[in-house]
Amino acid sequence: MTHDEFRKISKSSLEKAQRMLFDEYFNYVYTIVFSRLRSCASREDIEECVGDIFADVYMYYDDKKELSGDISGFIGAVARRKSADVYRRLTKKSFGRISIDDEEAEQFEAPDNTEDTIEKKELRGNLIKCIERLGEPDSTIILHKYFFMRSSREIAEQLSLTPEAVRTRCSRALKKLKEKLTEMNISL
Amino acid sequence: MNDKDIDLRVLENADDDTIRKIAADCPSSDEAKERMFAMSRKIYNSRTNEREYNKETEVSGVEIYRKPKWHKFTAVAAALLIVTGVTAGGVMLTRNKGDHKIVNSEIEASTSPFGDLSDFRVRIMSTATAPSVFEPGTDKKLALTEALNNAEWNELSADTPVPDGERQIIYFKKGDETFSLIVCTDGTIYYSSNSNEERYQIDDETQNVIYQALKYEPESGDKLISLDSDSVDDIDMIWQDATEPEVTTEPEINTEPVTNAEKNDDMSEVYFPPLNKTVKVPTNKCSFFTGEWDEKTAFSCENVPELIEAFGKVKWNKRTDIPTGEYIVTASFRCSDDKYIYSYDIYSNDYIVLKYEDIVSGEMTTEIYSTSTDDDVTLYSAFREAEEKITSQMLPDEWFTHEIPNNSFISRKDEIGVITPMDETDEKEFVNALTSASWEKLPDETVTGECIYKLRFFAHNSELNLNIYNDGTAYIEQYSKYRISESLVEDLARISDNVWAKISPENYTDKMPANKEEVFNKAKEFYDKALKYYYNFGPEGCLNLEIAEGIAQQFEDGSAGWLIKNVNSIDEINDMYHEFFSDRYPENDIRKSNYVFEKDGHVYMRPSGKGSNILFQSTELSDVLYQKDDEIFFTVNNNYSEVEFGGNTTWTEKLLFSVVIQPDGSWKVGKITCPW
Repeated sequence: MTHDEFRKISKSSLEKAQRMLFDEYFNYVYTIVFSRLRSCASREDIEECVGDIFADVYMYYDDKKELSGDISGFIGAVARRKSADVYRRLTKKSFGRISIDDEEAEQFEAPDNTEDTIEKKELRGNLIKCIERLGEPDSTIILHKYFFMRSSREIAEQLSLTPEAVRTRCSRALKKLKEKLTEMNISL
Repeated sequence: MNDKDIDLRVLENADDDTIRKIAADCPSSDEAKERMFAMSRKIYNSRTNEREYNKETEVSGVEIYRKPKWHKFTAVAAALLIVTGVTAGGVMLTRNKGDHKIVNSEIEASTSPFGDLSDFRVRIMSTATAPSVFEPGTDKKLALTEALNNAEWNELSADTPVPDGERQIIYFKKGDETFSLIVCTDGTIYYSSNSNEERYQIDDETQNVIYQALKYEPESGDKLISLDSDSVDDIDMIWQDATEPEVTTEPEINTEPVTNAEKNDDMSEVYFPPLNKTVKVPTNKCSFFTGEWDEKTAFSCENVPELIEAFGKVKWNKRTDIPTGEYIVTASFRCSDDKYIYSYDIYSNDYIVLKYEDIVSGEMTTEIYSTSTDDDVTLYSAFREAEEKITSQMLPDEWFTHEIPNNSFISRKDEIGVITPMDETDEKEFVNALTSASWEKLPDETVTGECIYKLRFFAHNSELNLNIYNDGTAYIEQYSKYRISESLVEDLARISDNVWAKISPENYTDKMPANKEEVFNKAKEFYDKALKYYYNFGPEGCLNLEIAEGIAQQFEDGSAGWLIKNVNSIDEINDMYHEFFSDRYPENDIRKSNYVFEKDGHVYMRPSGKGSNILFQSTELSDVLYQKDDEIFFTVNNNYSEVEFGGNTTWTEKLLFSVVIQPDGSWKVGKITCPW
């Protein structure tokens, strides 16, 4: 959604414009926040952080300043920064200046500030590929269960399956995934 | 980890590509999503209201200039700076014809224990930027110095325990005077100068402002200054590249209010910063436009005195640096008296170029100013509101002589679901038809007949939909209904026939390629590929580019981009692109696009994407149209819908697509328009 489109729609209804913006970028923002906070925050904290990020984006979008073209990069940056703040708050890390040699520096940085090692990126890429190769709905089940930490009941509701079917599929998919990972010499 | 489990922590805090892939499987329920949307609205509303509230309470008794709701309310309008910080004495701020008039004899401003910080330049070394520093954007700097000036400072005794943890530093400089404030992890602050070191406790509210300021936010105008770790303790290194501070000029402050007897409706008082005074000019010699100056399309200021007043309401900062980069004029204003022609051009980077030209000698003086973001919004809003006020009073025949329709589409008679673009000649006729017709405004509740033509076009700042009905009425969506002259319906019928004849296959039966079916099927696949490759700089595209990882590099002129490692010029990329896209069409020329730029012998890709039309649904090749020499033309249907966003309109745009046959028989993309 471009700035112009937002402005045009907000002329008739600001809420509608905000909803469209929210709908378009929700998955992206939620995933950034979740991926940063999954180890330390409650779902409420995560939801609050997502709400906060969108409020920031709306405020920014109210401004007349032009943001040209697709703004997902900008939204991603806001989401990363906010979730890093929440991470810091929740893990009670000291809010101090960090020398560049500090081993801890990395965890304060948003990932786009770090030179992600090629190996790590490759590992993630291969892992995602292995998950994708499981096919639907198994790939979704694996991500929902082991990354987004959803219960079988919640996954079942999302995918219109029975919790039993989710459990069965999940255990088979997990087995297949592990085989694929072993084939590719990947250990997690 | 047991056999029934798997650890996906490696996906935590992942790179953007991975995030986007995982995002496709985002598991939130509709209920949770709705909850988060409601929360975002609540936070947004409370922030907006809070700022509104602050404004009202802090400048109570003053007539506040109201920006439209859709504008950002930031806390540091220049007006507030005048009022806040005043501790004693009766202050009366009145507004008359746009001038600030302070009638007061005893004004004592609050300052920090280290003096008034508002004139100091500020640089910050924060957690995120160390060992580099950043110079905060104007708004942030003003908020910070204002908060520090007004804070409660309590000096701590020397034996107060020093907290653990690293510190963040705020550096100050005015002329040769430098000092720094070192923010400790417990919120206490060391004041450190060449001769002195003191430690203070400050109030919570100021602490919050400081923490806000410590966040590096390039999008708010913060500029990063790269330093190495050796510079941290050397204050001269922190300021080594700093040039002289900006000169700030305030609107001239009159001590005597203008009386009614002095007012003259035919004359306007316009604040002109280069002369640091208000000039009196005939109101009918004042005009403006919300874009690049064009005398023919400009609006008179006769009924919008509030626009002229806006110039006296903002704080003007004179610039000594000439901005580099490509910026556009977003608003312009001209006025003249017997001696000079005064011009104001407001650029998209908040810079304002002010000129005055001696009418007799032709001598021109130019000065460049900038305003804070908030003031820039005030100014730009004044232009937009003046424009809306004037155009809302106009009938379309007059309106469209100022805001000339462009990029216009028209339907066939009685087939209003499909529209197609006009070429330049047809569009000229269309504009003539609109501006020479007679329009009579009808009440909103007027019931109209059947829609026979649908048109869509841009008029300056808006995209407009015009419906023509079979009972001689018309409706410009979101504006008004009108009774229109018969001549307009006849003109539109002629234009529609003309436009559609050009894209109707039945008119080109003698120019069809011999093997039409085969060509059509091949073109369908080729069109899909063309869209996939269209300005695609990623690995999926037709370009072999190695784009640097990490965050985009930020340059001093405000541009930012990722280094493209394996090319040295845009021409090289262009050559690669022309392997698949013909150079016959200028729109296939990457040099003319805004997606890449060259700097210091390198090529960078801008962070912004191509944008997307969220109403886009699908696109398909619809017909073979004709072959002319080595080029085959087709039509494509692009389908759009507002339905999923609460609207009820769906429509199709019919456009041209072409392929250029190469000497070896292969094809390159000719004319193409990205449908999203």
